[in-house]
Amino acid sequence: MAAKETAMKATPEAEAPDPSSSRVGWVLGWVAVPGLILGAIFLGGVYVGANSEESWMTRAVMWAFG
Amino acid sequence: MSRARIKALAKLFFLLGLPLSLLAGLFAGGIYVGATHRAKILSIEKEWLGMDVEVPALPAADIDGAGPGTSHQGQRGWLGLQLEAASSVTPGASDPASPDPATPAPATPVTDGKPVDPPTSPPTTAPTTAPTSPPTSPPTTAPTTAPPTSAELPPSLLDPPLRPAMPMTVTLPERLTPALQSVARDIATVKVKVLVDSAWAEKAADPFGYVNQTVEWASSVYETQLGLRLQLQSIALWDGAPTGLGPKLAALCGRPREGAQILLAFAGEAFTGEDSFADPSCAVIPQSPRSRQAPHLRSLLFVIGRLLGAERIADPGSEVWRRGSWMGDVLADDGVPLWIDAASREAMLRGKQAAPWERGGASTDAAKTGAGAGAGAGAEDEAEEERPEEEN
Repeated sequence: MAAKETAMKATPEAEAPDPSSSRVGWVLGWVAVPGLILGAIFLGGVYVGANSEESWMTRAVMWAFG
Repeated sequence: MSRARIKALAKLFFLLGLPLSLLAGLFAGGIYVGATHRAKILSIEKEWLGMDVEVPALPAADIDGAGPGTSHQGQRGWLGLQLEAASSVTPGASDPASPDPATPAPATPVTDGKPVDPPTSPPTTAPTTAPTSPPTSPPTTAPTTAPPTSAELPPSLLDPPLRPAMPMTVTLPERLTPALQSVARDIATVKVKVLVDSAWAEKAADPFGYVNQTVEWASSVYETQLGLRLQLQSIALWDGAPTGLGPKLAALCGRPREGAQILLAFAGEAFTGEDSFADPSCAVIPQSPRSRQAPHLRSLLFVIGRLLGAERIADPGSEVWRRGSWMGDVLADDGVPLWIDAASREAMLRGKQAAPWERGGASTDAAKTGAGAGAGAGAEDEAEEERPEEEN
């Protein structure tokens, strides 16, 4: 019982995070970093498509989407 | 298969297969965008990122403002065929006017289908064979052999290329309005006389051959895009030419023209951006130091454009400058394709209609020719070494 009481007392202090930092973390974690990764993947495809016109990947994509 | 195994496979697909396929689709979309906008992306890589890439000429589909899908009409893939079948479009209904993007723009004067030197090559073969053959062979062979060889076979197969190909690629311009298309189709020939600054000619290995090539390249570009043919009438060495573009221009315009409608002087001075022409029939052509193989070509195209009434594009940040219009960046290097923007081309075509030396310029030109021939007949012999075009 004594341990339960100490846990009940400790939780209100731990559940008071800074709202601005949590919002920044949400934006960084769900928007910025995934956007960077997905954008890098897309730009990598653009680079491959522009510079390796005769590669099998470009020909396969052009055959599929062209 | 048990239900638990099916559930595990479904979880595996949703947690692993679906994200991976989305990433692969994103990468494939990038490849598609990169392949369809290859010229623009490579030009960005070269100009903005400084990468050492070879920029191809812009395909006509991109220049005409068509979408990216139209640049690969010749090779419809699986998705294109499915979409076509769904929309019940006949496969042969593609636009016949849009050229194949795989074929580059007409870059050389030899490959555009016209003979390289019309007055010399066709007449020389026919008269020489005709008089010799009739006494020995029956007359049926001479008419059957001579005309088909010159009419059916392209001249590039009969005659080896006498001059090297143009060092710059030519990008097709944008489409014209129907009224201007008829102006561009109407071929006008302008006779040109070129003086070569002797101070610059001493440094060149073959200045007359170089002038001949440069004028021919410019003529092929202007004939293809504006219907204006530059006929090189004579090349002369200009001894004692003053230094500087302004004094050269002042001295040039008083010289005899000998029947030519435009008098040009190839100078050794670098292009400064200032106009180097006095009237529509007299201009000094400066050179571009950044061009190694044809330092006067872009400048010649620019000056002819100015003579035709097009304005100089002075804003380096404008899109037409960055795309390499020769009315803008005259000092561009040989890697930038030759291209003319729509506004300048329209102005040139309107100027071509009104140019005094196009068709009706014979009267004004005759006055200048007569005056010049009378005034400069004595000084002509000691200052110039005339050389006809055929000798080159």
